[in-house]
Amino acid sequence: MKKIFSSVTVLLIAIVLVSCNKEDQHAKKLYKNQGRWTIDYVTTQLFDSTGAVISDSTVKNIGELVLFKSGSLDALYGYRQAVFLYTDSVTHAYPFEYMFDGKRISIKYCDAPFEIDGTYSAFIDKANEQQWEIYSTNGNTNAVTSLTGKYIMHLSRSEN
Amino acid sequence: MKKIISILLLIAFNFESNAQVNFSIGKTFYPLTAPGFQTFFTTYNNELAADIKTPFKYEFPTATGWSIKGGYLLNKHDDGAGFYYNTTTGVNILKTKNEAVFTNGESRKTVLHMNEWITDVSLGVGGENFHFAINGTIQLRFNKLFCSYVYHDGSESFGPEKNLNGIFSANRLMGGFGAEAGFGIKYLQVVFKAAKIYKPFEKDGSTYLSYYSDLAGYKADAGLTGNSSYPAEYMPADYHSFLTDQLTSESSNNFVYINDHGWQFGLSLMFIIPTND
Repeated sequence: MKKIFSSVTVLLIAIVLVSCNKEDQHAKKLYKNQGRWTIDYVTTQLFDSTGAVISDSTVKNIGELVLFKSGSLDALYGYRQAVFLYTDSVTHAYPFEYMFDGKRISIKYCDAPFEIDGTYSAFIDKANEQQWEIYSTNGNTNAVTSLTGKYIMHLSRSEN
Repeated sequence: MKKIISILLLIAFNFESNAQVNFSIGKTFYPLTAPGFQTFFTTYNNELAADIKTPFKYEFPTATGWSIKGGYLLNKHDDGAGFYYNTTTGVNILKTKNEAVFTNGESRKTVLHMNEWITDVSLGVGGENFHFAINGTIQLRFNKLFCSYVYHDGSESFGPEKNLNGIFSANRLMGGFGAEAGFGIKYLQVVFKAAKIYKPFEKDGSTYLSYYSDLAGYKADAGLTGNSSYPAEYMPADYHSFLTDQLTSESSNNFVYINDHGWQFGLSLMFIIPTND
């Protein structure tokens, strides 16, 4: 009886371990090692109907993102606290909230003059390199519509 | 790592005299039948027929993946064959995908990940180098549907510019029955197993079942705007109804439920570690 009880207990522990929130593991990749990420560049591309690039602009030296483990007011949805260290002539700090589930990064409530709010798709997801992209189309959200624009943010882990 | 530790813990608690510990690793095949996804694939193909070059297959292709299990084995066979009992627990990690390609070169991609925590109990006859058994299986299933839109340059979007984009999760306890056979040498057997996985029991209609939902915060925010169309917080079964009125579609339970079923096949290597030689 004791053996059955111990087996069942361990099985339940195992189930709990397996069902641990995967989103936490994805977010940990971002906030670990002080969570400082340098924004290497932000590129905006526009495409014509054939898919050819008609406009391509890149901005560099924008600043850093500091991503924390601490949950934000929207922690129920997996959001955490963060700060955008925006570099103009001087550096300003703008708090925001972020959520990362391995495929999507949602950034909101950032009041920086350089717009970073939005829901991105993770194009590159590595421990020391991230590339997040927002896509735009010219049509219905449910129809087949071609890509008209792409907003790319490339980040690398800041050296401490 | 957590899964491996869990398996080792379970096995450690199961040590006793006359017992044998066993580990197995193998390949799993699951030609699933998933009614909700069938409806979605069919209605999606119909709705966008004019734009589709290669439609969704009617059903997800056979899901394949790996299993790793460990457990406790009793095989009393003084001479020839004897009683065989084996209880194992472990994980099955399966994946399958289906894609519709449009005439403009872009595509709608659906990838279904099925992570299962499995506990099997087998009863039968066994000898030193073989066993035949019937088995029962209980599976705690953690399914995730990755639904994305792939653009002409290969960019894969999970973003809100397409309402169906998202990561939809559904969990469910499932079960089934089957049979297995193993052959080999003393401490190593090749095991072939087949188990029929049944649909979850339904109560008060299908609303009792878990459905594929994506409760990402940005979707919830968009849903509060009052617009009739916003990024889907659930995977719709009937795409036409979803397009007609997403809000009505929600209230009429137009969801894909986790109710896949079918035969699951496994081919594995079982390593037996005697504890009382």
